[in-house]
Amino acid sequence: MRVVYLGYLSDLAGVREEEVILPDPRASPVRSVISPRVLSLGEGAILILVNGMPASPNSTVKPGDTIKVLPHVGGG
Amino acid sequence: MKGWTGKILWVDLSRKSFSVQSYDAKLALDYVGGRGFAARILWDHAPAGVDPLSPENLLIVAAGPLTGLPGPSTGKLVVASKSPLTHGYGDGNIGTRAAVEMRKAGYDAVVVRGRAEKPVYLYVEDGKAELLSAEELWGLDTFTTQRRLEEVHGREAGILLIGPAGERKVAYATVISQEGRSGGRVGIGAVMGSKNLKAIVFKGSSEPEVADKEALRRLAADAYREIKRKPAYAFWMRQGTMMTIQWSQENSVLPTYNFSEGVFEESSSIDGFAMEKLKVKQRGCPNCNMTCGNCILDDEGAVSELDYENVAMLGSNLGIGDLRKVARLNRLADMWGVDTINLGAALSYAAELSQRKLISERIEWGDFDAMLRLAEDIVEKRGLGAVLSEGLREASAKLGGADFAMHVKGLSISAYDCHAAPAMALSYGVSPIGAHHKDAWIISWEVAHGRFEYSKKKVERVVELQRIRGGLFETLVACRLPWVEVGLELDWYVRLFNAATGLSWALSDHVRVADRIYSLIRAFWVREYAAEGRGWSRLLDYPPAKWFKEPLTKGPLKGARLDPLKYDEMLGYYYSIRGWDFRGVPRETTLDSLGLSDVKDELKKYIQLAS
Repeated sequence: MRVVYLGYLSDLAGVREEEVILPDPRASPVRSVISPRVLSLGEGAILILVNGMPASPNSTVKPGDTIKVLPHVGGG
Repeated sequence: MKGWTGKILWVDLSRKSFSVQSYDAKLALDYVGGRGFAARILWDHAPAGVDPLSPENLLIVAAGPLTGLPGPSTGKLVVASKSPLTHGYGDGNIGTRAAVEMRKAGYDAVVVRGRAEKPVYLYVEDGKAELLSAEELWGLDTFTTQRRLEEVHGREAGILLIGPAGERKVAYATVISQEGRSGGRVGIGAVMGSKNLKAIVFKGSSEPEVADKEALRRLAADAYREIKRKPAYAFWMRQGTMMTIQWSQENSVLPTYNFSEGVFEESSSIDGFAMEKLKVKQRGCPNCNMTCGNCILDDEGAVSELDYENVAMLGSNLGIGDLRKVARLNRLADMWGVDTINLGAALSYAAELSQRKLISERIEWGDFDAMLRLAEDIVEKRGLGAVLSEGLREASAKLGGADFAMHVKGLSISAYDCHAAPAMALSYGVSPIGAHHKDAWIISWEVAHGRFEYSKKKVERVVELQRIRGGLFETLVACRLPWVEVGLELDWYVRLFNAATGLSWALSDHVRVADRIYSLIRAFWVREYAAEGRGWSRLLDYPPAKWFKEPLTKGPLKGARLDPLKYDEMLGYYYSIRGWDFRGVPRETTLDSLGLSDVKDELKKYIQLAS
């Protein structure tokens, strides 16, 4: 599955996009495949989308899914 | 008073006269500055029902107690007036040397009334003011005018000016400074034009007296360092607000095809990474260490300063996926002195009219040449452009298509689609100037907290954001971006305010000021609409019908649209928090509790108030 980091989170993760293998292919939580440095910012500092739909670090993902991790932005 | 200069310059262009008001501490303590001063001065001195383009309307330029002092992004001021676009309260903020120089010249605010017989500009230097001829500047674009005035008064002068759009009174003409800094999208540039006032030039050599200069200097230095330590800082310096294009695309809120969709097929061609490849320089406001004016060369080779709002409204919303072409539209809008958001909304509305065959002109999505011609017609007030120059509310009354004229109270929606963002829609609905994002940009929080929900928690968050973004920052006056974009804590601003003024305020004191200003501004809207015979209704706080009636047809949120009944419930709860009645009119008890009893007495002449 694919994990995409947007905005400054790509600086923290050290990568803009990566293919990852799920620890448990049947039902792994999002948090198990996200960069620990990004997770360390806290849940309030990031947004998670799974296949374009809002999700959380505890949401489950399966092979073939795309996780996008976004920072909160202020919108000018 | 420390922190404030305590002086307001009043200028009457008809009488060619000046006076200096030494205002008392009550104004400062009750309204702080910026938007607060502007709202109170307009309420007190603009005749009820005044024609916004008449000599009797007021043009207000207002700073706050932090403006120009050491501290993050404090080089900002507020321009305000009764809006010719909305006919209600209107303001905008600009980061400019004019903010710093106005304070150094000895004033917290300048109020202009009347109309000059011939074009003039106002020159203010160290407590002195004079009117100088602008006949040779009239008709010039804003970039040329800036350079001409700098040749006369020096590059250090702080300059606010208008271009051809303001002179011709396009209803969404803005005030421009330093070749691309723009503010007052509610038509403050048209108000200047109606007064034959081409520019205001400030020069000063004194510093506002502060309570503890050394503490303020240390605090400011620490705050600047703290900004640079934030994890978001480095990326921000690369892309600034342009990073939001990608963010909005991923969250299906990027305005596309006149807010019909939230995703754009060519978004990667106009996003922050595309901008980085073309960036030639970066510029910003005085006192800022996170400059966000990212400049590229447009398709004519000229420098254009980009940010999210103008690229989204002149790019994806028009179906244009060529960043250098978007940059040309943006640069021309700045040179004409016309607001990029309203302009983009007018062009996309016209394109939708065309595709629904409600007008004879053919305008296709992505047709840059057709969009450019129509933009020129708007500024020149020719043909269809003349109708569109009046704003979406007036134009749709003549041309039809009110359901897809994307505005609230006449001011066009800024660049966030709300088919699947009810709290952001509410934020637009109850913004104090008409649809704008600056007061309560809640969409990022909303996406993370159940974006499809209609909840009391969301309404409470809208109010909380209004108090900070529209209250604290608009009165200090300082830029909100260090807080919202890289996470500089709010406490810094409270401490900077206290060091400057010698007061010992808590954030809650600023919140109370904000609540007072919001109810005062609402009272102004109600008074003006009543006096003009427009009437007042809860429906004025509704977003455009398109978001309720026509669902998204593309992207992961295909099928999403707003629920009108649930929106209305949120609106009702918003009114109850604010202490306003079912119409959205402040209650008598609310006005009394906010120290606005005199406003209550005046407002009762125009409308019956609930107790």
